[in-house]
Amino acid sequence: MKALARCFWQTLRRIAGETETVVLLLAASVLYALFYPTPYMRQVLRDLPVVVVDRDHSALSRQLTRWVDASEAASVTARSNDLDAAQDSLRAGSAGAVLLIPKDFERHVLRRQPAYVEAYADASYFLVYSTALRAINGVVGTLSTGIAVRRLEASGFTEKAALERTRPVTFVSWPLFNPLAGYGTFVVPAVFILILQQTLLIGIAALRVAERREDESGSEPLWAILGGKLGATALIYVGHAVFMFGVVFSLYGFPMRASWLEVFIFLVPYFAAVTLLGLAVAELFDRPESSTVALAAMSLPALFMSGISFPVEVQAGWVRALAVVLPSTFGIQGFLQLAEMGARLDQTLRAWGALWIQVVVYWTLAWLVLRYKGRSRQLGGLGLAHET
Amino acid sequence: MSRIARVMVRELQRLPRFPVLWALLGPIPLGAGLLLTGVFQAQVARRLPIGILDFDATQTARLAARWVDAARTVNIVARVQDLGEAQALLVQRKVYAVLVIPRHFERDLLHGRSPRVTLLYNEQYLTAGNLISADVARAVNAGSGAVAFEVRRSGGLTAAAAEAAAEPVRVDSRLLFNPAINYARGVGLVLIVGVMQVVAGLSTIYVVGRELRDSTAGEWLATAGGSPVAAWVGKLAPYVLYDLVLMLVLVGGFVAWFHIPVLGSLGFLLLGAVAFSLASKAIGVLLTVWLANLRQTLGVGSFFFGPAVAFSGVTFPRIAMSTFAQVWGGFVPLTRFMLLLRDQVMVGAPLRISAAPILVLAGTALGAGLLALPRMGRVLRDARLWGHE
Repeated sequence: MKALARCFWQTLRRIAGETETVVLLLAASVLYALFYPTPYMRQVLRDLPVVVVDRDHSALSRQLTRWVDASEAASVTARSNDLDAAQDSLRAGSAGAVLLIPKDFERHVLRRQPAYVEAYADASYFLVYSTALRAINGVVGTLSTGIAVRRLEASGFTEKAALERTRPVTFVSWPLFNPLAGYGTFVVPAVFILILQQTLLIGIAALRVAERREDESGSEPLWAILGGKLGATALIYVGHAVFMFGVVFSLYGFPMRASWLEVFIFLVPYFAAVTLLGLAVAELFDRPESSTVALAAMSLPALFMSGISFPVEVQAGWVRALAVVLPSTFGIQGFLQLAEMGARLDQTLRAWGALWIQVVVYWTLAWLVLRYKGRSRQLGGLGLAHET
Repeated sequence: MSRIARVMVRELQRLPRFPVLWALLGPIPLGAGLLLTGVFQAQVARRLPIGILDFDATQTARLAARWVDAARTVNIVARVQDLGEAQALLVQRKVYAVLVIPRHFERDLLHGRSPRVTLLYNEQYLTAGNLISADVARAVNAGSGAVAFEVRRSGGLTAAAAEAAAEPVRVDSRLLFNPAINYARGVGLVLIVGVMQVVAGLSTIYVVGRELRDSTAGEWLATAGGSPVAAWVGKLAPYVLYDLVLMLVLVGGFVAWFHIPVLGSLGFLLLGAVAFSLASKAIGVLLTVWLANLRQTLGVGSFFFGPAVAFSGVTFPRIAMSTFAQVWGGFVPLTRFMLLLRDQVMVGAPLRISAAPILVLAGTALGAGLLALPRMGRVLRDARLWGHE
């Protein structure tokens, strides 16, 4: 136990002693956590520019235009008679949707003939088309229901009966966990978990480089060296978790639905798996900057392999198989369940268990790597092997 | 041999000594590209698992379930007995949504009392949630509309009149530029280009920063015959060329693999690719010459190039961003290049629209270059700027 404590303090001292490790293990996560959410502070797309092409010029078409303008998601920025010109503004990206109200629109409605409006939405941006169509469908749906109800009322139905007759089945959709469909709430928690992994991996590589340069005494048992490092990184990264999910989340208004105890219990194997993976692969990097270069480009694939954006169910099988190697895959899934979806700890068992399996596998790997390195160093001392 | 050519030759001879650079130029972007191709292989999200909670258990309720199961985005994989079970499946992410059919659904429907069908969907997974809720809404409303139509038909109306009575106004909606909501186009492309930008930026920082750290900048200048212009041109030109090749392989490969039609001008895309590479390189040089410290520059460079996708406006539109993020994103080359890709690949926009992003990219390259200029000569001569880790 004494050896473990010695290794723990030694690791902390080493981290504090190098600018490199202080920056990577302490400062980087803080900076990223404050910087990364800035695009998403407003959370949702509001007042999306919509061009209305009104060929009807009737009271009803003007009413429809006003309603679209009044909706939260959309805002009528131009009225035009020319569909081509309106579509040009879609091509140019200055409008998100075009609403075409054809000639004789009101007349068709008054004559009880089927009436249509046309909506053209820019689907090159997913949030634009979905926001635009939801706004237009909502407004037109309300208008349509109102017309149908008034007709039935005119033929003697009560308002309630008319409404029920108009909508034989009422459909209600109920968004869970992120009721305002906030984009930040969707993406930031997952990215934070990824940031913790990436900075920790790079930081561990830097730490190992520093240690190899100092040629640490090989007198401590390996289990204590590994354990000491795990303790040190867990301590620092629990601090980061408190900062990210406590301070930054409340600063930017992201929900946090788990108790701190549950979060810590979940994240401890996550940090351990990342630390051990870092130790196992650190020997690939002869210089601290190498890992920065390698990991910067891999952050994007790692994030998308977790399936937060494009669902895992439809990703290629071999990608899902590879994703198992990354702690972030399970860290993100489990943390979202726990902190965003309000799952109980036992409901995150799959992710949590997978992280523990990674801990065991990467512990073995790190142990083998360090033992091999220790041996070759001793042999190197006798002139039997070459050390880099 | 011209001075520029001599610097180029020296650069190629240096390459084998830097395995990290090799990795950054070759295996890392190719690996990332392959992974992203695998992530988006299905292109569209179909048959996502949902559950059904049927409190009615009648013939009609099963009919309603079939309306929903016919929607392409979803696949009913679980039948649950109560809301607790539904909640458990949702938080364990075994299903993305649960459709709840109320008790007395059939009776209320037959008596015209408009029973309420509810979809509980997981909006934490916003992509899946939005797709599922929109598709299920469409399916249920279509089913409901069919019932309303039949009721009116049986009341003696003609088909057209029954249709008009059931739904007086309809929306005929058309999705432009990416009608199938193909994720490889809509999201995959920006990730590929994002990886490309990391490579273009960090490789520049690395090759220049190594000269300073290894104190070989004097030798570099000497190879250029003492001309800083020749030194810089000879240094960067091979990498600009390499960027273009890599972009052809990565972006071109992605576009070809997913059969993404290119509607616009290839010449403009090439012009934009050159400007994109130059802008990324200029920013890399700017950071490197002023910081004159390889590790610091790589750290700052990762900070700038790494999260660039979030600021590019592809996944979250720029008009919805905070002012700070809009301004920051304006300096990121990826933002402009993605605009160009959207215009020239997906939209087929007229060239006058695409001139703007290319000019801004060129302006970014020029601006960053001008800011770097005062130090670009000095770092080659001043030994005090060398040798820093």
